[in-house]
Amino acid sequence: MDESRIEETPQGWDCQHCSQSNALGAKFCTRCGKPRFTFSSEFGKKSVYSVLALYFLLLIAILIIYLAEPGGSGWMGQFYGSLILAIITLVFVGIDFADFKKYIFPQRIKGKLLLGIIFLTPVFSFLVSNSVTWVNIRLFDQNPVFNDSFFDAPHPLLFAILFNAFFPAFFEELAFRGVVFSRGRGVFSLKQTIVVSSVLFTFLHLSLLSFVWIFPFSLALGWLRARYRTVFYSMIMHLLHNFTAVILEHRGWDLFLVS
Amino acid sequence: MEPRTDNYVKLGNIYINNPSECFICKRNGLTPEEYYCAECGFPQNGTHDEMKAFYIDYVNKNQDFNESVKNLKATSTTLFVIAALTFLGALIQFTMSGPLEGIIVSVLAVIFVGLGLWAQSKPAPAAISGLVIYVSVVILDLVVGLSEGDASGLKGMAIKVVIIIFLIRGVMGALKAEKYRKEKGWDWTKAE
Repeated sequence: MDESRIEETPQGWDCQHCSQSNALGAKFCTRCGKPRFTFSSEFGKKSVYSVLALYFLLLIAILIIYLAEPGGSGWMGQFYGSLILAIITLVFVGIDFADFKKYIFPQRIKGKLLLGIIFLTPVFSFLVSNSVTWVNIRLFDQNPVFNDSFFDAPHPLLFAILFNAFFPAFFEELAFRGVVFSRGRGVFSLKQTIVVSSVLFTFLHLSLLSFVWIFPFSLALGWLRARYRTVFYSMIMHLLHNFTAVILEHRGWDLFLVS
Repeated sequence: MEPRTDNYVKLGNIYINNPSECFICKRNGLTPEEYYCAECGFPQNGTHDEMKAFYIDYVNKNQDFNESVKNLKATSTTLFVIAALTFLGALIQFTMSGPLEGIIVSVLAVIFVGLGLWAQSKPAPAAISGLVIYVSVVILDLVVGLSEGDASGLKGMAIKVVIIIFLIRGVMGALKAEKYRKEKGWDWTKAE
């Protein structure tokens, strides 16, 4: 525990050591000198180490997957890659499992919010997919097709949805809006936590140009997590965004602006 | 000579001539019933040994705080240095590889400038973000380069390590300063 405190009432607080009644705002007991707030000498270090460990383990795993291509360049490669990233995330979730249970599902689902996410996210995804395709073709003279990795899968579209939409939405949200967010809150303010988790999320996508849209998208996901104290809505938003991108690419609708 | 009426230290001894003003935090209005100061915990009405023990601990913690402030204040400078080096890299990319590559690296430099500015008011999140981005770039440059038979990522490794050490010290300094702020109300922005 990094921080412990004696709760204050409108009248002040009672010392747990000598029962002295202390005035509102007093930081120390006036009879025994014990502080109202106590902090461990390792304040924040454990949280920061956890965040850095998760990030760099994921980064190293991504590099290994990129270089070694376990399972080849087809859908098996995607499967192994997703599995490795999922295991790393689940290990960190498991460490804080009691905390994890609190933020996975909302106490009550907010219908209007959910509807807003369901209608607005595909629009955003459409704009992003088309802009990214436009930039790739105009600037780099190429257009990488992510669904192509599943050409050898038993059902390419289904597998593309599974590994490019469901898996990232679930595990990335658990990692960044779950572990990084919860740990970050132990050290940073709410706004700072949203920004830090977004920076980490953005840079793990390893594309500097993507910073332009992933960072604001991640800020929105972080805001949802902070505002509603659950990863449920950010997971839905992330899932819908990726799902729309997969479908657009499959149908060739990501070339709408280019054509 | 007029006797002193303020609280002072002389030859390692603590003299309390004004019992209503805290010796450490100068809070006024202390009553004889308040054995310890409610603001800083100093045993204003305690024994001399208690006062001395508190004072020694206070001085040590103050030094530790000032050291961490020095480290966290260096974070902003470190991030600006990274930004300058990255701009230099962008210029090289611009002339050697083309304008597009130059612009892409410039984006990274702009991000570091932004983090440097952020570090002036919020050093902890800026330092950790800067550390993550910088180390990621170094690792990517090294690993991807080596996989393609290009060892240029190894160049300037000593400088890269020094920068990483400064960023880590910035993160640790910021954490410690935050702890002192919450625990004792010491504000690093007002520290010299």
